[in-house]
Amino acid sequence: MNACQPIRDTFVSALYNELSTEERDQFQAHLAACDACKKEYAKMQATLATMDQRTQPQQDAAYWDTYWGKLTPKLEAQTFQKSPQENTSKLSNRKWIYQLTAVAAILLIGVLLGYQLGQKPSTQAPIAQNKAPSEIQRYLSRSEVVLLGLVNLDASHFDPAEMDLQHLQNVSRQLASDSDHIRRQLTDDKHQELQRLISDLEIIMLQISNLETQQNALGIDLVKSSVDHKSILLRINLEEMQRNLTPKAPTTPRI
Amino acid sequence: MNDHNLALVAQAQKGEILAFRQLVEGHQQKIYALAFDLTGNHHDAEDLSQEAFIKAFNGLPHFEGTANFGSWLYRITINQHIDRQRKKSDTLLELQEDIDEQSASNIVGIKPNNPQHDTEMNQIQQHIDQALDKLSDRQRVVFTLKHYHHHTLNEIAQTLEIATGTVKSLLFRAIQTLQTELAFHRSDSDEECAQ
Repeated sequence: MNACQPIRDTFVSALYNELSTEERDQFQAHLAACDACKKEYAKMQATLATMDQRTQPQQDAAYWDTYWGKLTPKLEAQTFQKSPQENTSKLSNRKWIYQLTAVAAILLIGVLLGYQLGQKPSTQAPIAQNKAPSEIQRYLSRSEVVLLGLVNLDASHFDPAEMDLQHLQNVSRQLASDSDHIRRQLTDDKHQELQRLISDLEIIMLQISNLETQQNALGIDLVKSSVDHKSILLRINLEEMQRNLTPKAPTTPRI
Repeated sequence: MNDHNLALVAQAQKGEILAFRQLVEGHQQKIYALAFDLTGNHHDAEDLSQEAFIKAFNGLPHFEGTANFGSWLYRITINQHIDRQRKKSDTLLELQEDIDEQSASNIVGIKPNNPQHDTEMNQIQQHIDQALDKLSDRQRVVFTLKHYHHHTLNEIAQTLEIATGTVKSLLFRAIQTLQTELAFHRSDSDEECAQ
């Protein structure tokens, strides 16, 4: 048996093909002459063959898409726990940059809305049958600005708790309130599509005005989904194009 | 370490989180696979792999570019696993088995097509997992790195900072333990192969 010990010491290397050629020759020569070692080696090979049947579970692509998202808050927690001198990570800096960008975007929306409101009404009255076509035009333009500002926001880069949507919600509330009044002006059957558009816009504006502070990111994603699902922006553009192509009635300056 | 990883590590060391993200995404599947082999369940594997990345993130300032980033991550994962095992209690293990059953649904490959075959396969998997659970922590680490991650004996020795002879001893004892645990199952599986 003493002659077997050096060979048994090489069992593991042999099992995993890590013997040199010379060692391999000696090993095989010993197994050919020693039944005990031969049996023992065979048992170990069989054991490893069984272990080979273990399946490695594979996570699907959806899991890996969320892996970084799960890691990020833990990394941020690590970053914020460090002292200012130790914190060399740009995690915090990027977070402030995104928030600053969000504030700038919301301010820009406010400026654009103010500009729209401050614009003198168009002196063109494209559709003679509508009492206040420019009002509809303004309604669609303001809605478009609100929605464009929202769909271009990346909610994942913002801290929902700190995102200030109050201004946007105030405008949305106003637009929702205007929807009913404007719809009543569209009595003609040929404006059914426009009526449907305004109804859809009313719902979306109500969704925006009802966003809760704690769940802004989810709410924004839901609004984006609604806008996308109902092709709102496309329909607004088509409506505006149609209005621009419609023969214009003689203009009456609006006081 | 390839040039791309080298560049990413350098950027990550300067605090570029996007560079670190790319490093994570380039190694997450391997580290998760190692973590799963070490822990035996999804819940612990996810925790362990994420803890390893967090440790790597914190240790970036001290990481020398001459070492292989993947090997470094492996070492972190293994050490973290050993630390966790010291703290883990039997009660937690039972709870994790329940959680693991619930989280099995997002793992592809476990879908019943042939019920009888799947039952047998599940039994085999169970036997294997039970046998692995009988190994000591170090035996399991060595066996996992050798048999499922195909590291050479020398690489394992370097990763664990132990002698190659110690690796061989640990591996030999691990295989003998598995052999004992699987003895009952092995006779059944030999019959299956013969059919």
